[in-house]
Amino acid sequence: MKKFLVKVVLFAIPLVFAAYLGDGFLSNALKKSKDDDLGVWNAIYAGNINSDVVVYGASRALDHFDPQIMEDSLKLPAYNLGMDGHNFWLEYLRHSIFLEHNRRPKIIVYSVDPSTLQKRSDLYDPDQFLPYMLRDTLMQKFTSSYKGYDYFDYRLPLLRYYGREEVIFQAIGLSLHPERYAASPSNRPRGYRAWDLKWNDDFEKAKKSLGEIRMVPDSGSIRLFGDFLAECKAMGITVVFVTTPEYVEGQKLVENRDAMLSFFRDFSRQYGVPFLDYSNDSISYDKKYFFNSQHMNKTGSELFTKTLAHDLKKALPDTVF
Amino acid sequence: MIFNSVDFAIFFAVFFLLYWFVFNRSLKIQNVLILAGSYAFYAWGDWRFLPLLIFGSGVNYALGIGLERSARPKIRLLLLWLGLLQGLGGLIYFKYTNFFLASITGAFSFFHIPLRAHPVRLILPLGISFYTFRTLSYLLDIYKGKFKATTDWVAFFSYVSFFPSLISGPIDRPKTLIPQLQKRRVFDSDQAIDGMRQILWGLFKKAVIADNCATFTSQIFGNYQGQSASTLLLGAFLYTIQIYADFSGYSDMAIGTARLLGFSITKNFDFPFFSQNIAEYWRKWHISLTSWLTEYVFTPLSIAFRDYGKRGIILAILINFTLIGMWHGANWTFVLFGFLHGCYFIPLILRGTMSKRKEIARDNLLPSLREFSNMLGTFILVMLTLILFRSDSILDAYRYFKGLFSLSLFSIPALALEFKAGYTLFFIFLMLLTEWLNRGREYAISHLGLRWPIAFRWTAYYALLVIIFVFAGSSRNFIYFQF
Repeated sequence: MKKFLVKVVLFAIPLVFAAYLGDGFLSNALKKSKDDDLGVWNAIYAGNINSDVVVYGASRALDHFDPQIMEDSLKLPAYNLGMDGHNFWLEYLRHSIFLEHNRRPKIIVYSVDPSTLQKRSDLYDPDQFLPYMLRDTLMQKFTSSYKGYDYFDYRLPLLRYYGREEVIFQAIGLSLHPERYAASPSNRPRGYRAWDLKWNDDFEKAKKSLGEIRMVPDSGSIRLFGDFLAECKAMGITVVFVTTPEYVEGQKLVENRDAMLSFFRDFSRQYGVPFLDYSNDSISYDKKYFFNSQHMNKTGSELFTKTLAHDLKKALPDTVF
Repeated sequence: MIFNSVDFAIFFAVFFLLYWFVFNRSLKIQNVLILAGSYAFYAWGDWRFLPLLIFGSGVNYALGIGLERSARPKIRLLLLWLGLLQGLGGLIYFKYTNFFLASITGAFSFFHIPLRAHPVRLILPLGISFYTFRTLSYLLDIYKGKFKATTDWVAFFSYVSFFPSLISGPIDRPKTLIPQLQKRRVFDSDQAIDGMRQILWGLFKKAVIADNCATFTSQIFGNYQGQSASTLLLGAFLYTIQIYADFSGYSDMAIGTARLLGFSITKNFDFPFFSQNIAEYWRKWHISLTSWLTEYVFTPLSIAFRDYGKRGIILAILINFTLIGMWHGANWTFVLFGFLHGCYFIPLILRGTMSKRKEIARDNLLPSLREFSNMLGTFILVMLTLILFRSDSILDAYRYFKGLFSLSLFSIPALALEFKAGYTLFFIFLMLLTEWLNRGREYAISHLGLRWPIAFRWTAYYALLVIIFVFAGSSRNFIYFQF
């Protein structure tokens, strides 16, 4: 028995070393990525944001706000921290980590929509958290309530990479040829994602298969949103709510759209937050600015960003642009 | 708790140390640990049915003693029937109630007779098909005088709930496991290392082969209409491999785990894809179930029908395999699956070659052309029935078959050019090659590298671990958990 246990221990020791080394190698390699949300996290942790105007929100944020146009118009550096597929709960995580590693912004433009205060159950795009998960209590606190990673993934090295062959090969590629990944089509320059697409049939398909959708607000997210606004006020950060243009027919897909947006009207009154609602803007009536009913294409988002920049100057008269 | 999880690894590591270092002073106490560990293992999966498992064990323990001690044939028969009713009754209730209700209402509506029968909300208790068959064989063997009832309730309860094979088999007979529970286990380092090697091989089959195949079969079977025939054929092939790798992988892990505790449990697979006919296939596939039904169903039936010659054997085989099909699930697809397999035996029975055994490629590296075509033919027959097995209804299976037989059979399958499909097919080839080269062994890598220097051998293990780590598919429950 002793001989057997000694053999097992001797066999396991290289595995333990390999786990730590492997974890370090993969995580450090992935931190070089500029792709998708992982690329944005990398920029956050590296302290590369340092912008005066930042955009928060989900996919409508990252697709609709061109930071370059905002910077040209507002004369303030801008960055888009929109997080694809997620709601406020994880957007707050991004906000917290962003403030830990970057200088405080002057303005947060929050792209709010009917799904902002929902909380999905699955951890969409779980790979984006991989390099930063190990023993990060903040990351664990916010992501562990989703179906995605389990208890040991946050505590044992390398385990969370189990079976993720695409990520592992991506890490190896980043390690060997980082320059090839610098010009990938999935790069998001300053977090922004532009879609050079025309209107597709997603909306017709959604109408047929989903009918009307009812959003369910998450009480924890609502409480946290109030705390978020109070924190920003205490830190002297100006928050502005923006509901971006949404194709007018698509607005009918969400049965309780007004009720979900009314939370933000209440927050706006309570915390003195300007609320710019572009639901009925002329852009919302023209399909040529959208590729589906929720998301504008590059043409639409550039036009919208110019309009927004102009309106921000009026909405924030005390801010020096 | 599934075998390929961190939870089980921690549970078993603690259990192993307690078993060999703390509880090894007394056989009874060690068996109490097995029992407690088995109940903890079961409860982790679903605690709600733990009382049912304990109740069933208690009833069968008492009935076993009653059968042993009673001399009167009528009392013995009554006790046996009580046991059969308790075991099969529970199994039928949980597994087949809604199936029978749906079938009856379907039959009535076919004749335009309205009949409302609301489905009962039932959850299938974990492992019920497996532990029920254990208790049934215990009672039947006592009744037939083949086994003596045990008065050691800890040993008996541990036999019923032995955690390495509780959830998905193998279905051990009392003569295999109970004597081992009643005898002191001595730690054997070679046996333990062999067990770990078998676990490693089982993990490779489950994580790399089965779970990756599942990604594709879900896509293909979930959206079969509109797929090319070649894609449907790929789906059928991958599902055949998936179910083998999943179930045999689980069995390997169960057997390896039992070995680490000093137990030898029933081998469940013997490289079935190298079978030359369907009879040989079933002698090598899910061996514990096939042998169980052969002993307790087929043999008595063939004796009962002996006056009808070959027709009697055919009838016995059809009943036997229909029951095998039904054991798998409450759906007409499983019934038809089993029945078709029974039909496959008919030519063998008529030719009188059902029991004929011939070792394939004896003393040769490669099979002969005839042997290869026999293997391929058997594989295709099995693959076609597994389409039924996988389909949600007979209509779905029919549509799948219809799609399969078209000219697009010669097109390149969708998914074939994906990187994941490529490496999955590569690892399937590697698995089959390894199994072919080591057919006749206990499991494919049982003798791999035994004569190599330790550094080379360990390198092979590390390489396999790396392959598992990198290429494991999305973790899924074992297919046979649902049975």
